Amino acid sequence: MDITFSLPLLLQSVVSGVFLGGVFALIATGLTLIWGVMKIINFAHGEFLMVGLYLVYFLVTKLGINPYLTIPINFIFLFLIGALIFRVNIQPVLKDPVMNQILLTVGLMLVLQNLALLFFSATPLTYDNIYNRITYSIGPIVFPLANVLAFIGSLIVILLLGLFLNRTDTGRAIRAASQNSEAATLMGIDVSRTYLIAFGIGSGCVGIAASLMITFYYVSPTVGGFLGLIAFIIVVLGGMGNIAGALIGGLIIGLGETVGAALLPGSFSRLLTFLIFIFVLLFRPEGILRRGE
Amino acid sequence: MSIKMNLTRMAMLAFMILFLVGCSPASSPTSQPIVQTNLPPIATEVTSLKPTEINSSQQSEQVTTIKIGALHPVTGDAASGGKSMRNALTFAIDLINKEGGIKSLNGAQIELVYGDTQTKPDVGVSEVERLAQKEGVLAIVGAYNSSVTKPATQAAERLGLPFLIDMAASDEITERGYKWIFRLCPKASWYARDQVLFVQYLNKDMGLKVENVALLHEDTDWGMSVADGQKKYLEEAGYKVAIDVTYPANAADLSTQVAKVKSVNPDVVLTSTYLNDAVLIAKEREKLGMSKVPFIDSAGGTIVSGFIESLGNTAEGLFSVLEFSPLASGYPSQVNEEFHKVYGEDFTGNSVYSYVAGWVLADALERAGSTDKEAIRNALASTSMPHSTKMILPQDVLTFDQTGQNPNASMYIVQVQGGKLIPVYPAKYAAAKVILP
Repeated sequence: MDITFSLPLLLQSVVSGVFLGGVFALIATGLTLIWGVMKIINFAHGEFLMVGLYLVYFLVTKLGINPYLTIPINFIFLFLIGALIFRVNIQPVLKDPVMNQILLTVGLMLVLQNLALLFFSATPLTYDNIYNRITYSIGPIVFPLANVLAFIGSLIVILLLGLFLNRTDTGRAIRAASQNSEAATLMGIDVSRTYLIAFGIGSGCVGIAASLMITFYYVSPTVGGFLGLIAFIIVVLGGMGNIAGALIGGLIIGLGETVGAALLPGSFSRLLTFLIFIFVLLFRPEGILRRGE
Repeated sequence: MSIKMNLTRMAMLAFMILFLVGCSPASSPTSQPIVQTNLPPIATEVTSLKPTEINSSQQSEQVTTIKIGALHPVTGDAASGGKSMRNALTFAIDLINKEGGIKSLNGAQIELVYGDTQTKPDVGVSEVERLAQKEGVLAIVGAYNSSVTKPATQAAERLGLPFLIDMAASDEITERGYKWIFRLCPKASWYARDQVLFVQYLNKDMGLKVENVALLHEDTDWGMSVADGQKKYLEEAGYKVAIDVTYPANAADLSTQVAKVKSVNPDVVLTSTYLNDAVLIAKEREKLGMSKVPFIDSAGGTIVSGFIESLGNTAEGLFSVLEFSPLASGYPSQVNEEFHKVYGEDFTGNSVYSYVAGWVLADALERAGSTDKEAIRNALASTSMPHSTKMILPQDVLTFDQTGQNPNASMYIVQVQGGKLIPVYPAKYAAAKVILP
């Protein structure tokens, strides 16, 4: 139970936290987009990530595709899965009580987890790759290439998503539908198609996250559990439905995890993350960034 | 439209229920088939015994069969482990009977009477009573889970029934001053002992500089108690624990914890892991360029099937304590091959003790030459079995000390070499040499 403190370690944990936070933010962005547009909390979001990770794993190990080239394939695949699940499962409950929606997405989560257990067993899989071995260092601080690329990739995707929502017609339609679906319908926007696209993009985000994470992470049927939980915390922390909030929330939680681990032993390392969360909820219950109207 | 919506929803629900129901046996594959496999071994045992019974009754009217209880969990949480232990014990008893049974008792055959603890302490106790009083067994082998074995051995002690523990590692089981209890497997704290013995071996025989040792482990009861043992044995051996890093077992990221370990430039790292965290540690170890530092695991994630396959080169060079390896050279691998032919599975770190337990009991019965429990108990206490096809544990001679513990019980240290867990220590039973990068 040594409580150690050293400056290089602290700096390292800050660097690791920022890198980790970028990927967390990308996962949370998908979730916050779906919430922001159709007010559905997708409890199966982490499991979509799990599906994405399995897909990337098989693309890179069986077909030998470079992990970073799987980004478009994985985005499209997860987009289609998201769209399909939206059409079949989510759309029918859009107007139903919240409890029904929660039961539905929790059910989806269980189904996906158990399907993965059935097909892939509980053994975690990892991808043995060169990116995980290349590191750059400045003094005592290590910058692993895999994490740097994942961080940069996540930032670019979040930025592109922001541009898409603000600058394109489809993006504007999504925002319009999220602000007032009836008014949007009156303006000639096909709201159900817009929802479908938003849900697809939200799911596609975790597909990209999966491609970026496979080099340094593992895949198992339950991998979505913790990452899904983290994504919820980030969404609530940043302000539900707010993409910039998800980015800030992601960085804060990423830093909380690693700096917490640097300063505190064992399970106490979680303390920092959840303390931050509780304090933000106390003083800004609506999240760090209020949802833009 | 609402009817259509309701229909879709009902279909969804039906689909979900179907899948959940369909999946539950898959996620616990051990619970169902066991009920069926409960019966066949007993049935075959009985039929195979009939002719010999007649034969021996012609020679003498004394003893024709000796009943031995095999008490393992074959339903419940620990069922899969319990089942392979039952198989290994049955395998040994079949060999003993084939070789002519207990010769000092006119070739009496051993009949195994199966019990099932269901991984429950109270059931363990009632099974001991049933086996002793209704079935009339002369000794019991069991019972895998420490939580079950503790009360079960208590019952055996009360009944004056020899109880040979194949596997149940909790230290205190043989530290209660019991007379009727014997244990083959090492105590839980000896995992740490064997790790430290190996560190000494690396240091003194392999010329590795060892000044700083780092501990890295998950912080539930198991990881913490292993670490306590590691600290104790390291201190006794004169090594310094430079840092003791703990982490939550379900951590999503261990980069900082491994960086903490790296910050003290350890010469050796001792770990206690589950599976997912072991994977993360291996990944971080590679990323932080610590591949030259030996990481020695406490039979945690490193030895779980699938760990090496999933990590590939990243796992190369990692060490772990391991109770048994089918790759160990000499008798263990020979016997394991025979076992594999019959049961289609390898000995596990648990079932290898069940196999040896069968032979230890047969040896004791042979020397006792009597069905008196006191005589069997005394014969057990004076056991001395050399390493052979019967005693395939990695130790020279199997004996029991005053407390009933096998004091020389030791484990292998295995290293991931070429994608396999190769036994590299103790040197006498190793299949290959340690590779230090």
